Amino acid sequence: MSTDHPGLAARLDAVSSVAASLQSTGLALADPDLAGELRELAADLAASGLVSGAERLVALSERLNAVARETGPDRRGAARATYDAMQAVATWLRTWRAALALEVARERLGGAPPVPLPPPARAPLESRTVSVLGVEESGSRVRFHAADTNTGEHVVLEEPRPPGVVLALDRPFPSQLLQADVPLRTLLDATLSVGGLPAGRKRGRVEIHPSFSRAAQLRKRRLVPPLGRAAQRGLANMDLVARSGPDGWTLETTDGEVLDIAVDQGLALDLVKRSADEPAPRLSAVVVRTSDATLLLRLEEADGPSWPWLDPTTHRWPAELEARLVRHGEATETVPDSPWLEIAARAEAMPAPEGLAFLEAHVALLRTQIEKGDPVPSGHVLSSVGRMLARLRGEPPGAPPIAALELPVGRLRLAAAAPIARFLAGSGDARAAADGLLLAVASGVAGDLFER
Amino acid sequence: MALDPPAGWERAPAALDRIDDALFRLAEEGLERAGEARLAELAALAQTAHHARLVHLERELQALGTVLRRYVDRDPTFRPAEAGAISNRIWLLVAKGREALARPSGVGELQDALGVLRRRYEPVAGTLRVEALGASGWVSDTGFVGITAYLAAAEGEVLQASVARPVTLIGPNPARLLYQPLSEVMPVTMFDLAHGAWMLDDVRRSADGRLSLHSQLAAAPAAPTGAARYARHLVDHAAAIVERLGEGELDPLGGRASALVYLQPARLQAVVHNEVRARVSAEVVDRAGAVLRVEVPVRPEHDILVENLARLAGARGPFPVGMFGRAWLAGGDVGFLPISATFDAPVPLRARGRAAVHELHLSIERLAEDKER
Repeated sequence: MSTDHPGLAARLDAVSSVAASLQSTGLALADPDLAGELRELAADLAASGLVSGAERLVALSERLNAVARETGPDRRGAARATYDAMQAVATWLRTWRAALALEVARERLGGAPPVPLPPPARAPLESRTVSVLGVEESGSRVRFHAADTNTGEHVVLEEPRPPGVVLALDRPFPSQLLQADVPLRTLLDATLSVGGLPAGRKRGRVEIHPSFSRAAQLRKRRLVPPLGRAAQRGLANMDLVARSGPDGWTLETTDGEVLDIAVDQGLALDLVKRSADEPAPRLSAVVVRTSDATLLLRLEEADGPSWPWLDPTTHRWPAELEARLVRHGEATETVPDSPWLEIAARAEAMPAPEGLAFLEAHVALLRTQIEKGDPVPSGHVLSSVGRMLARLRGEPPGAPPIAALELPVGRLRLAAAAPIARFLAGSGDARAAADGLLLAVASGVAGDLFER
Repeated sequence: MALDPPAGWERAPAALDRIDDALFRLAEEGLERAGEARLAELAALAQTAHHARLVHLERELQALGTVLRRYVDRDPTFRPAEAGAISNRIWLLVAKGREALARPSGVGELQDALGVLRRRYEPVAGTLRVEALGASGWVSDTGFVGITAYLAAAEGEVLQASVARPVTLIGPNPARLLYQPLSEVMPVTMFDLAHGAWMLDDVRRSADGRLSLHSQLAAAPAAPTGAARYARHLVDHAAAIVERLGEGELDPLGGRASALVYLQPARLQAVVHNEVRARVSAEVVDRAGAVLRVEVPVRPEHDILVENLARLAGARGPFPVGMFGRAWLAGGDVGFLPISATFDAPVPLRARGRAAVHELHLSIERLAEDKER
């Protein structure tokens, strides 16, 4: 290729201009001077060594002359040949423009070497280490509450929560901070190096966000951060007493102050288990206290920390606990839902009179347990059991199914109201609230509940 | 070797003649005399090409129709050279198609010459980990609006996953597709797919690197790897882009050769509106001082891109650590269409939920106003 770039560009522009003119006016009414112009251009191209282009332009010029000469039936054939010649010029032009652009770009951009990036002005990762204490879910975010291992300062590691992520202790959590999938259990009991990550101070605590170009690091050994006890604000170690009442479990300080801590089903089941040994279990907890609520982060146990609200093992009844409950004269069917579905299935499988007796016996047992303060099973399970009982008794359908179980109405009303109220306050989950609604409607207490 | 062309292609020779003849008549009359009748004829020709399985030609005819519509409407974004380039590609495609049909040596060769009516999506064994590099909104000359996500897969391969709807249904704003679920049964949206990493199961993909977002596709979030995902596309400076573009630029049927690159810009030059040419331009300056030109026509689908570039060029806006985009040669300059900008700390978006992200997809997501941040 010629190295005379401006000259070549000018020649290509000239060819382009003639081609554009032809395209615009059309072959039928081409400028009569165009053929001559093309010949001149071809001579110029040939003189500069662009023989391939010159040949195409000459061919196009001859075809244009032929079209001008022809007046008979061969004129269309001549015009067609001109069209092909015009497209051949367009193809040549496109190819040479691209080649020229490559050459020019190589020369224009190939010179100066890049300036090295300035060294990062960020603190090293090791400049701040934090120990994670617990996790808080809020909509599209997940916040890991942690304490600075040197100062005990409250640090929040905030991550976006991708859709579909389920926070479960033994599942991997896709962490943006660590840029790795890490089991949640590992993360919740980890010490991390987070120096130099994007950070800010908000509401008296440090908030740290994931970095695009740097990952936090898991430390091999957990460092125990210094935490105060029973502080009014921020992170604190706290001794709690759990008490069961008609509205479920509440958590209090040892001074009797009732804390606004939501007790979800997982924690409630854990407390029921603990209450087999002592009616009001005592817990050593790490909490975050704000002006309006307290967040339970973790429970310190003799054999390590626990997070019952995330731990599916608290939802199961170990064999030795079941034996102890039986020994104490308690029933074993205190676990909501799954045992009840099994009972219903067994009743269904029996001949009708035996099935009815079997189911009525268990419903009577459940009634007693609920009167004693045990948890109320979910609305959808009670509704199923109620419908089955009505069917076995031969009662016509239509009545509220849970009403057929004759359970204590006050407890049903409270069990229905609690998840709905939590949801309306913005702290409960929608599924639990929906189940509360079902419980209210299917037990016939909805009108009473909503009037109140 | 004798070969029976698949059904539909028996109409191809006659269709090629019709298309060739129509384009010849257009050249005979000249652009000056193009009008509604010619546009209607081009639309009918596109249908003819469709029924004859001439997929490449169908697209080019639709594109020519769109360009000529701008001429007929006296749209200032009309460029005669664009019409000429498309006409030339049609001429070349007709010749290539005739040659392939006259001496067919295999279905693959015919498909290369004539196009494939529908992409074949083949199942992929096992799971596939993908990580978003960028996402861009588009409005096609063929009347569709969509978003394409560029996803890094194993061994540096870039896969594309697109959602598209007719412009007549949702208007010419691709951002409206950002928060729609990818399918009726999957809660994942294009926004989710375009931010972060995913483990996909029951994957179906085409030979040209397209992922099917079908209803059986399962997606589980995975941990993103930050800057590491761009390593294969990182170019030190603009000169390296020229080498990447290479010979592809010289293939007349290859279209405008382009490469996906990731640059670390030193600065962005102010956005300039050229009202005469109906174009908006800006410049990305690399660390060697080389300038990459950003130039887009003034059209509704580019509004968000222009707004974001103006914000990034402004002294008060956050400055990106990198820009992922498509680069090509433009008359001796390197043209660059920035797709996404990356930031070390998450930047908040002006959108519902005010999500904060490391990757700002420039044509479909707006940076939050300063006062919102």
